[in-house]
Amino acid sequence: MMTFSTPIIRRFTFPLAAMLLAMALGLRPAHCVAAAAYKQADLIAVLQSDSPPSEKAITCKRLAIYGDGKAVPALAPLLADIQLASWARIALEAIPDPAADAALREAAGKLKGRLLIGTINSIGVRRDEKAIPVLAGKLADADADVASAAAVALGHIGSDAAVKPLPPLLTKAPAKVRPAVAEGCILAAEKRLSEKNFSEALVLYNAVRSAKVSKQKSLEAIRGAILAMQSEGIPLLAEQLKSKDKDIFSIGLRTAREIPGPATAKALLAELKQSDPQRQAKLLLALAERGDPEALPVAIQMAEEGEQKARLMAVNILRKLGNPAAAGTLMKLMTKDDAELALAAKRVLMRLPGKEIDSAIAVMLKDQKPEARSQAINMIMQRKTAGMVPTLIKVAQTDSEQVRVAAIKALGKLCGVDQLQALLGLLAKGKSADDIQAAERAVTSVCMRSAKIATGNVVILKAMYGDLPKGKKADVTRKVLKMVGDGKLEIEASNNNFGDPAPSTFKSLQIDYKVAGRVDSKTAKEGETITIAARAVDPACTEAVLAALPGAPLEPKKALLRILRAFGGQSALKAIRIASTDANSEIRESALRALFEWPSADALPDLAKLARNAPSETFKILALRGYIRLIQEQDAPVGKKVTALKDASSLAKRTEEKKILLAALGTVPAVEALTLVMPHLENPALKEEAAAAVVGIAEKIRAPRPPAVTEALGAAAKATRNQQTAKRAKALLK
Amino acid sequence: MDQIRKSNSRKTATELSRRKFLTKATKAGALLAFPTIIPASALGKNGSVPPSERIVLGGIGIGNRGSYVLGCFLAEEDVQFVAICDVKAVRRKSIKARADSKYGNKDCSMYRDFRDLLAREDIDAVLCATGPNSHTLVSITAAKAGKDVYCEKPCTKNISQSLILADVFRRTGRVFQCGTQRRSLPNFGYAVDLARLGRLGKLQTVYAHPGGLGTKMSGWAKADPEPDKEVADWDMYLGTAAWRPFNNGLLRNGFGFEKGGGLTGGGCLEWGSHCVDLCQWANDADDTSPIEYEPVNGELHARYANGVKLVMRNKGWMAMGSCPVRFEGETDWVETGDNANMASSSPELLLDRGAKIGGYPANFHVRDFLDAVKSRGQTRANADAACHAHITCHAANIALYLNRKVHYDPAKREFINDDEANRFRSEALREPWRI
Repeated sequence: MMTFSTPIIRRFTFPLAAMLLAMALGLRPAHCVAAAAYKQADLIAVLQSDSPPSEKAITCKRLAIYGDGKAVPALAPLLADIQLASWARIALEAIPDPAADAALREAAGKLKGRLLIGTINSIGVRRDEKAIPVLAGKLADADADVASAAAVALGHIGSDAAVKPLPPLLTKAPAKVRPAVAEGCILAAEKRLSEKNFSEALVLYNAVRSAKVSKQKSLEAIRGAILAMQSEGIPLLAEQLKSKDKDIFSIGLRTAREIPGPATAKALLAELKQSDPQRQAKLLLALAERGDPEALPVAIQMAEEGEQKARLMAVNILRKLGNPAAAGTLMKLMTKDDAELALAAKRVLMRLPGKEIDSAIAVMLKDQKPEARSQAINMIMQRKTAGMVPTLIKVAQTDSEQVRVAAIKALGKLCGVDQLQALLGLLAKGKSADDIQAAERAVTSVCMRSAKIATGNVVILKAMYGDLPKGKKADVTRKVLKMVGDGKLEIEASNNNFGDPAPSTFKSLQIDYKVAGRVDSKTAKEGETITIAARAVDPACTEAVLAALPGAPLEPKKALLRILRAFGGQSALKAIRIASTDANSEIRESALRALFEWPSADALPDLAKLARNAPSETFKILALRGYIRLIQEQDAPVGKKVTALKDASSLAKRTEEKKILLAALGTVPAVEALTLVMPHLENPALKEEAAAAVVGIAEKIRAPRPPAVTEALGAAAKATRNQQTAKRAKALLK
Repeated sequence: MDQIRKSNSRKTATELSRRKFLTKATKAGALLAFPTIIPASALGKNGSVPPSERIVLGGIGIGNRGSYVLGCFLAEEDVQFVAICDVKAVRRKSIKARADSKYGNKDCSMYRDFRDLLAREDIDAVLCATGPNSHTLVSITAAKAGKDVYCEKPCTKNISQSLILADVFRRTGRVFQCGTQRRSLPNFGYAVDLARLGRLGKLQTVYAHPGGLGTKMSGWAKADPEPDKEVADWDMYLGTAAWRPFNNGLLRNGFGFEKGGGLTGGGCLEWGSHCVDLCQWANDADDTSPIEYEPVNGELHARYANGVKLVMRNKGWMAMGSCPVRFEGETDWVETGDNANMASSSPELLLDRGAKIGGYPANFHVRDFLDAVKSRGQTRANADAACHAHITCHAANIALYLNRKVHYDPAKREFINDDEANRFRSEALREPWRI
């Protein structure tokens, strides 16, 4: 964007220039060393040299930070320079040394027009008391803009001496200057107000109020006067609130927000009672934004008795007030037919704190309408009101299915393991399919939530380190595997561990892994640590579910088997095996389906057997798919995996399962796996999956690769029509 | 500079008490205002709006962003757009044609000098969408002229301007809305609610995407032939920025020109004025700023007096679109961004999240402003909230520029025992401007 002409660059005469250029070009890096190395003497030398204005301009900026009184003599002459005056004032406004004030005062006595105005403005910012005579002299300047600048600067200085000339000018000054005089007076009055010098502040505000100034200045003075009068200002406030003039009424509303205390609230309320609806809304809002408790009964009354629009407004004001005492009203509104109003009431209710709200919701639970009771239950769930669990358990056994299901869902969110028996009881007594499904999910949710960290049987699936996700990164799976193999389960994301694949970036480590059959993924930023662990269901949960199994009716029992499948573990598997031989065919089917989806390798022998002997072809296929899945996920030596996959290969008859098998083979880094894959390269229906498997296997075998691998890669590259697969194969062949 | 120090020193217990009360009132407006506080319908918005109930609007500096926001205003039935001011003739004509086409008349007036537009007594409010260089000047001048202001962000160039902006809007009683429209979008508001209502447990860390953490300064480019001021008024364009010769590149890059101003600025103010602002909101910190700032490994870490940590980082975000934020409490966390997706450690926390509105539209924010203009209530992104969010960004930029930790005292409005950092708080305005 910013470019320097070549001659300018050539004129830089010392190292500072290079940095100045970079700064001017906006090229400064985020974390470069601070510019503390700037030497004032060098900067002054630039100003006193014949350097071009652009260099001097930037130098002024630097002196604003690194200059002191010694820089002032170099800066002062620039105040008369039409191009550099604004740059010089950047430095002179910032340098604390009194020499800067003196330079500005001196310039104010010599300059004219815009340059003089800028200088006066800087004097005002610095609040230079010694400049008061100079500024006072400028109040009568023929240039109205100069006189105006002086008036405002005197207001900024704000001392008695500074402000003294201003009030008379509120009437005597030329019309063009009067607004600035009023501003100066108000600035000085604000200073007194903040210093608790209320009487003097009031004098100035009143001076402005009584003068012929713009309406806006008059409004500012009204506000200030009310604040300066403190408690005695309430009548003046009330006067504004009664005004038919929109602007005056508005300044009353805004000022009311600045005055604490019940007197202001009383004034607002008094006006509210005799106002039209539109003004009532504004007055009520002012009360609410002040946090006045007086607003509550008004808002409640309006919410209960007002017109539809007024009710909606009142509900939103109740939200602002955040007072639990509005709970009863909001509960009533929630059951109204007006959906917009009901939703608004619900949202407000959800935000309100306090036991009053919980009590109000409990009352709503007794409502005749199922919709109301369901809403109450949802609110209990979202508010996480754990104390309502016993009530919800009772409600979950009522006649309305809608209410029962809502209650069971809520229990799933609120219960702990110690309340699991009650949930299992609800499951056993489920009156409908929806009841049972809700209870099944609730039990699973409670148990999974209370699961504890488990370690052991760790399988690292993939680990990446670098500028994730899209920047430079490295596959560090092998490194993480070795660390875990060495017994390390806490892995730090650091260059020490993984090198630096993406220099100058803030890197992350992502590890995809599996513990006890459960897949998980964690990401840590550089310097943080990933703990490789998985959550295992509390044995107490498994025991409770197993205990409920024998006496459960048919449908609940099927649900319990599905829950056990989600839990996993030896004792659960044992129960599933027993159920798979149950006399009831539906139980048997549920148990078998649980086995097909079993989460850990414990079920491998069962699946191997079922893939051969299951009671139907469909079940054999499902068993085989589960078998192949668990073979690749198990934590076992490569040879054992190959043997198992070979066994599965003998059972796979259909193309669909063969494809699944080839995908599994592609994850095994063994030449023996290739021998199972190669025959399929010639099968048109399977050659793409086979080629991908060959490449997958080869990628996992470290170079130098055996000739069989190279040969297989060549065949795969030849067989595949998938460009990505071919590219990967050729890359390995190089 | 001295103004900041002196204005602080004269604060008294009474003043603080009144300010504290005012802050409470301000926060009540900004923080608990979801959805619209007073339905516009209750204030005469819907249907055929009588002229007396319409908000008469003027636009100042309407380029790309301004054109979009202006569209949000024009879509509201209770807005009457009557005037455009821009330093570029081509933009003035374009906006006038758009307005005249909408209203079927030729009434939209064109101005080159924003003071002429502000002098019109019939105008109630202005949309300020100039480049960031002029946001503070135009907003404050408008307030002093009795106009309410919707101002695009970033609104200020330094800490001093941020404080003066808040002071002026308080003093004048005018309504101010900073164009941080994410404050009016449900996903951000809901995430903030989770943090503020304690649903995440005690708040620990808030994360903001600053959209870059590089600091930049403005400079002096080569002189190009200057066009007639009726075509492009370079002097008005420079505004409060120190003088430099006309340059086409600087004129074209209105949004980048002097953004942040002073020696610092840039990225942190780009999205920071959105994301840091949301973090401030989540931490109930609309009336304060962090007390320490430190660059750490490409991030900026800050800490509030209440112990909550603010992290500005460009990386490590979930797929939530631009301007993401993340709030972490003792027990749970939530993350969201411009695509309106939300993620949380506990999905049930998001059950009541409401409508999913992506694409960061400004129409809700504009409506919030218009409602406040009518009700005289507080906008969600009022001047106090904007002031402190901007101060946080400016202080962060100063720490980044100095490449070291700085300590800031929000009550005293100064860096502690740090003359170097303190000199960054303010910068002289080019003549004849003052705020």
